[in-house]
Amino acid sequence: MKMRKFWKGFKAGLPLLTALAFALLWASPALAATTADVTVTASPSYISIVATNTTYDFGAVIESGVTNSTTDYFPIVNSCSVQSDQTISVTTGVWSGGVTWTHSDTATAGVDTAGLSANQDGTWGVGDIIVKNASPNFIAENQAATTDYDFGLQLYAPTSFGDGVQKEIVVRISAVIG
Amino acid sequence: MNSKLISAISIMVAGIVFLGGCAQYEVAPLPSESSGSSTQDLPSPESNIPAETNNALPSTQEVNAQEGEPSIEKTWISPGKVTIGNFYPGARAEWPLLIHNGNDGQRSEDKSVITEPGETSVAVPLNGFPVDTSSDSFLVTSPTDNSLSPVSYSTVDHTLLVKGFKPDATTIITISYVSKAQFSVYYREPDHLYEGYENAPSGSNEWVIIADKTPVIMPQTTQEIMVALSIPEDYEGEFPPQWEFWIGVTDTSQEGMIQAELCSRWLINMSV
Repeated sequence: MKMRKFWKGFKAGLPLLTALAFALLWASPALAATTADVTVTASPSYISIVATNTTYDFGAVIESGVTNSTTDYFPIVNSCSVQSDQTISVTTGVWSGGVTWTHSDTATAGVDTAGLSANQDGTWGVGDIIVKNASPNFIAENQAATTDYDFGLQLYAPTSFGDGVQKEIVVRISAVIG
Repeated sequence: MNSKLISAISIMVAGIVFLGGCAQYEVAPLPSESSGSSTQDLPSPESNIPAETNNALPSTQEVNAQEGEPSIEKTWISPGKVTIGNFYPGARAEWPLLIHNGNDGQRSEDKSVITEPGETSVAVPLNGFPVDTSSDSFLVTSPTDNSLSPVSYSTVDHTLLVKGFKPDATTIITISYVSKAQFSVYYREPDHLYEGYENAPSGSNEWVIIADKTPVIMPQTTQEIMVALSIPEDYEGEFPPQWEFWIGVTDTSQEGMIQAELCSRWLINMSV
């Protein structure tokens, strides 16, 4: 008699047990998804630099010649609202115009191969920075917010030229939060 | 009677619990929905991107000036740094990048125009993006000819029709107008890494979605470009626990030997 009552009760409760089992299995992925919430945070910061003097003519250069601007020729107006790191690079490995020049990332002149170095408002030969195409160097590391600076450029002319056509290359200053 | 009642209650409870389980699973938040800790000084990210629009991003839009931003004549981007936490393959995170065009838009282009015998009107190609395309918004001058005048601008081939040229001659002219600026927005490997972070895994450039990679922005206005990071759920490669990429922005109308590039750091912290 007791056995029949138990069986009757078990049969009646079977849907409830099944539902609970399903619910637990079903709910598990939802719990896992909730614990994997992604967070996105942004700091209130502004990155802003402007080059106010963007051209320089090295003039007619001689083979293996070294020619430079003054070390304060190119002002950079730094309006970053935070400390920034700024690098200097050339945007390509080739100087355009006629027989092109290869840009040397070691600032070593060669046959139709030229180099550039920079100096941040100092003295040429002291703390010069090689201007590279790959893996740029810092021109202003840990630059304080809203603090301007100047720099100059120095050209290492090729040891021999393929022609006398004017050559050009673009120098890029890149700023990122420090 | 009791067993029928228990059965009915069981089925109702089962239904409620089952439906509850389904609902909870289906509305599990998109990663972007949980984007928290945004500062009050920055605009909040746009509403979440529905899963079915996966790679689509909202179109870009102009935004009003924010407190603390650089002066209006400076070109800038914001934010300088975006940090993503608890990221994993299949997740998605996004943040709007603000780009301000600080240029006043004044632009002059020098051209050398050669006319054929009998030709007095020439469609001169322009490199900029005129704010106003009506003929009276262009000024055409020449040191040798003061009879030149603009007729119409074609938005199809970006040329200005100028009349008054001497036939069979070469004329040097200057065309002045107010131009929008075109920017380039792109994924970029870092020049140097933030402390504790490593270079992004190979192929990560394919996970970065930029709503508009070449926005054309009106002078002295700010535009919002949505940037999203989404790693495929089935990606099986290894991740450094913390990695980094940059979003680079350059004004493509910059001229001269020295040009500026503005970068925003994206720091990714993977879920452990």
